Amino acid sequence: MDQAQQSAEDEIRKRLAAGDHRTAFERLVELFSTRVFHLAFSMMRNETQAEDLTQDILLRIWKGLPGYHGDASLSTWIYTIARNTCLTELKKRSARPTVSLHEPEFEEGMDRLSALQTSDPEAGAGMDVNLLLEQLPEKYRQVITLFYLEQKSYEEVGALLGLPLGTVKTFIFRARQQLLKLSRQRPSHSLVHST
Amino acid sequence: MHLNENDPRLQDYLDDRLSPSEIRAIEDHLAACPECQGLVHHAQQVDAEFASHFATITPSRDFTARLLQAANRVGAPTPATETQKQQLENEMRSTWNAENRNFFRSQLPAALDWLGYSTAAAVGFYLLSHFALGAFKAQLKTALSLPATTTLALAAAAAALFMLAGWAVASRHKVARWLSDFAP
Repeated sequence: MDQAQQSAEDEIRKRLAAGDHRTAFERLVELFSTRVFHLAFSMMRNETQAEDLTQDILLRIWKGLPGYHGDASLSTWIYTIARNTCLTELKKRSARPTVSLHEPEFEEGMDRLSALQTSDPEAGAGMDVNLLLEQLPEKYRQVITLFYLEQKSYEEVGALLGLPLGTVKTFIFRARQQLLKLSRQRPSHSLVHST
Repeated sequence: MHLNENDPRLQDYLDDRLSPSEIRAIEDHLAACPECQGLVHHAQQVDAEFASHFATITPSRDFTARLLQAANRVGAPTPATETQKQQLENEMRSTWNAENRNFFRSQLPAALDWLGYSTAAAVGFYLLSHFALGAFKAQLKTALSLPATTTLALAAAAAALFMLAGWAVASRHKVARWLSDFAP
């Protein structure tokens, strides 16, 4: 954790200790909301759902602020709540009956949505990234998503996922290794932009 | 020096995590190897594509405002009841226990490395004192007046202390973080 983050966390703790929950929460949102969003996105892989889940997580933290006594670091506490909330949501979704992912209308909709999610003018390039990610095992997909969202910081990925640094490095290495092999194998996975 | 997809140096090169001398060595090789040039160029393309794809994934601009409005609607948090505190503590404890196990598990490779080095150092010291210095054995034995097993035990103890000190110095940030996170 860098010095700036440490002193920001210390400031939040002081506000909490003084009972100033509102200001502490506003600083907390400033400091952590994007990271929590990244974690939610790495699990849900949909921006809207990730945003809704991030709001749920942060509201849960808001309600739980009086229960935080500084026993763990603030980031550990927040990321733990975030992970548990995301996992609970994933379990709920897997228990619900869903539309088949292989219905043509659903796939077409997802294709359009994925294309809209990139600001790249050539929508095919954004789709290629998603196609490549689909080929990875879930744990690699999640780690590599967070790796790029967190500007390639192994430490942040480890903190968000509660994984040791060595494990994070191994997963990222294997994920990138597979992505490179996949992108070289098949023309449909090529990142050469078609006109 | 030939690179392939399985070589960790390829990814370290992409992420600028190599030392200047390692970068020079790779770039000298790339200047002479079109095959590796092609691989690195393709890897850089994939990396740039992924970085640019994920750069567009951000919360919406009004996210914070909507969140704070929702927090206002919920109202100020009330002091937690004993049941809520217990529930939160149970949830945190199971995560802390898992993260404690992860922490020690993550230190195990480094600790084993040091154990290996210090065992090699102790064996080397023993061999040195009893064979390489054979010419001075009589004088050394007289001067030190220590039996061989004592010499070995002292060497092992010194090596173990060295191992512990080296591990503590190498892992000082992690130890400090662990102490602040989990120690009472």
